[in-house]
Amino acid sequence: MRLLSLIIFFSLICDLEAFAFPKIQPIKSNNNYLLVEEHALPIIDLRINFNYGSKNDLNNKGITNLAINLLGEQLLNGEKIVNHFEKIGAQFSSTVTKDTSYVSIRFINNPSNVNHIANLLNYMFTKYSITTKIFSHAKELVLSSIKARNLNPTSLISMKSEEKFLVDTGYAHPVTGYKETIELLDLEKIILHIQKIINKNDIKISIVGDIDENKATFMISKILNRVSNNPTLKKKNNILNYYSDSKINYIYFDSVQTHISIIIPSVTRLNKNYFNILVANYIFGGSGFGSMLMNEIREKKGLAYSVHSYLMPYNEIGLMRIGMQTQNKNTEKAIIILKEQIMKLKKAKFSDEQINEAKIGLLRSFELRFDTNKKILRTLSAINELEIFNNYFVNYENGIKNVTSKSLLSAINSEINFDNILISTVGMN
Amino acid sequence: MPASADLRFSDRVEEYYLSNKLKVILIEDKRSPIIVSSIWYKVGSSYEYEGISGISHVLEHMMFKGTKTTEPGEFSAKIKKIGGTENAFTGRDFTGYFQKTHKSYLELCLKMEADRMRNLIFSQEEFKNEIEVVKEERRLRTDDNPTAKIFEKISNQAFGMRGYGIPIIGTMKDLNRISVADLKKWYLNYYVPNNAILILAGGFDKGQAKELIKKYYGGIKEAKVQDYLEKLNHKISFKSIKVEDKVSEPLVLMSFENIRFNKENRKENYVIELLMELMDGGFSSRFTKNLIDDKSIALSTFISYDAYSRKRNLITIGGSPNKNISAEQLREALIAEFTNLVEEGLYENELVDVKSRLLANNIYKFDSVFYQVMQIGMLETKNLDWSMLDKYINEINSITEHDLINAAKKYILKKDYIFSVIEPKKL
Repeated sequence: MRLLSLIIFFSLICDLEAFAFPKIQPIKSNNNYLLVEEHALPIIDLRINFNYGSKNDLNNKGITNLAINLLGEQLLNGEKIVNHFEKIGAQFSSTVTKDTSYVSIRFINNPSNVNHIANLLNYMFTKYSITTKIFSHAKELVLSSIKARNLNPTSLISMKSEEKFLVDTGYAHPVTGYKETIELLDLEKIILHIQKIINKNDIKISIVGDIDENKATFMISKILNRVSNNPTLKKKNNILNYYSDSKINYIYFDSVQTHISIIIPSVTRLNKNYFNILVANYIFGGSGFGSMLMNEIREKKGLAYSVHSYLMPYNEIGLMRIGMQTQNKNTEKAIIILKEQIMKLKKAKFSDEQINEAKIGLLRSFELRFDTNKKILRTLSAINELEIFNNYFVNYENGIKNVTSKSLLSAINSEINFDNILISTVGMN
Repeated sequence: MPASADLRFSDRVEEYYLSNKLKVILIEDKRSPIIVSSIWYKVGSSYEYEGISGISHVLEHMMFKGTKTTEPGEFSAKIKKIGGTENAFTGRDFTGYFQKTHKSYLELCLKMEADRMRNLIFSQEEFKNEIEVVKEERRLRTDDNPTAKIFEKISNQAFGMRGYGIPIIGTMKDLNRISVADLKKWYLNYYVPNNAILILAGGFDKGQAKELIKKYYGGIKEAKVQDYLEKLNHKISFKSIKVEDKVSEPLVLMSFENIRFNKENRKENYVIELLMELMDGGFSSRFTKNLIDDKSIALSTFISYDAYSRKRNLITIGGSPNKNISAEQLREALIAEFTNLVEEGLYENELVDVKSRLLANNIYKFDSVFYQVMQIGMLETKNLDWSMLDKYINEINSITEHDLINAAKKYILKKDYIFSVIEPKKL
């Protein structure tokens, strides 16, 4: 069986060589600006990444999120910039994560749109034209979302478990901050913060679509014209400070289901063992039906609609997270099964066949990941942020191909501390 | 918007029927070597009745539990092994199954999907487990979700346990009642080629695809489909609904009865679509601009409706009031936006701007092969022709201010509606 699975694996690997991945080019040799040309549709997708996430909030927890949300709310000729985008059918959005923040825009390619969008983005990054009224409304919205977060068991368990597990790091607080910290923010603080975030030296731009390198260069130069040039943000290295006391973190919530979350220390994306852990997670709970968790929790016991594990590789701290929901009375039963499965993961007694199937599944699904411009942009932006665009596709494939049962066991032993896990529940326990 | 005219489904779609009346729609899109292979059955919650509500969705779950020649879970495992994704979805008018894989696996997808059209096995043991999974899904999506709960309540009050009043997931009472025999009956009646549409999209070879479709589906016999619905006239009740639940702000909802979509009244439906876009389609729409930004009456607003309804349906308009604004004040302000449109007409360039937005969105939809399948499938299962999608731009462009004002009067201002409020529960 082992020989057969190896033959199948290698024959599939040969197929993979033929697959054409998107061609990434640095714009005018600048590695901060990446382009994938896709001329089949008259669409351009662009993402501008700031090297600033909620981990950089310090005491003003939630300030980056509020500041980035306000970028599109600035006024130009009495109208919000987002409205100017909409007039030409462009779709604008802004996002803040714990590691980074970015604005994205999708628009139809024509010469006037390229020019217009570039001018509007440039205005957005240089004028800081936010009124008190707009600021107050944005603040109200954030405060309301904070209230809503505490009434939503999915958000609540995510927040509470990360607060505890990532204690004393920049990653501990939720991206939107807390009521107390948001209430202390005023417009002056926000504008000062925006000035810190919008820094030409730290900006990375990713573009996908119906645009060539020259036009992309023109667009970038217009967008960044007169954008401030500050020293690059110094990185603070967050390290895990959590020490498990082996107790379950029960949080009472009036609901018919209990949400269960388990966090296990894991690897960052740039860790040398990332691909070993990725394969292990695929077998464990990262691949839906057929995974260990899905088989035990859903297929055999009918305890949950959804159960999964996934890697959360923050730039400085990596986590593996397990999540599920079950009716309140089944909580203890589910936790026992999850613990048993974690023990199996710890032993990592996976057969060569299991490992090869996981590798093939991961490699094949990797190919299928680039079928829309939007998805290409998502990957391009992530590899731009992590500065791993050189040979990205080859490195990813080789990373998976090189995983063996021995390397996987060794990675699990060296990278995952199974004694330091956090189990949390939100429900009527 | 010069490029929009160049993107047409008719340039990429071919449709035909097999001799057993299975409708086949091929969408060629060779941007990537990916295919989406899907089968759509014309059955969903609006075909159900009280006692078996949710049965279409439960059957969707059971479709992964093995056939005469495959083990439970084998379908999913095979797709996973080739790096593909697969899933299924149940709506009010359809149940759909799809696989997204590399084009070289087309035959595997067609073979397995055709197999489970007729050869499903109903194991009591598998059912016993899976029905618990469905109940957990209901607890997750509805019972612990205040917004989903009120929408279920409103639809039920409007249409009773008929048509769009039936919750897709089913009531807990009915989930406890559905049996394997019920499921088998449902499956044998509706899962036949003459009640299905096969939609294949992506970078496949057309000649080979046609041969494979014939090979795997051509031998399945057509059968008469029985309609189990008895005629029942339910009169809509406009009684207000007030509940307390776990929400951070009050939520106001006004639900108006909407017309069903058919070929004859499609222009009117497009007018309603444009009217709703004008009111709440984006950052620059009237609700956001006037009620959120200028007057600070609303914290948020929304409009929820299905533009392509097979049966009588609802348009629900609502939002959350700002601080010191009551639910009643928000209700009046939302209605006043329609009155203002009727009395004062459109703002300068407003119609041009909103049309630009819809037309651009229409181009963006071509970015995803999967979304092309979804658009066509959702129309075809409602007996609407996919070619309507190519006429959409012209239809939208032909809409005038007069049309919008008439629609605002006819469908909102002159209509009674169900007024609902969720007040924050004191915890």
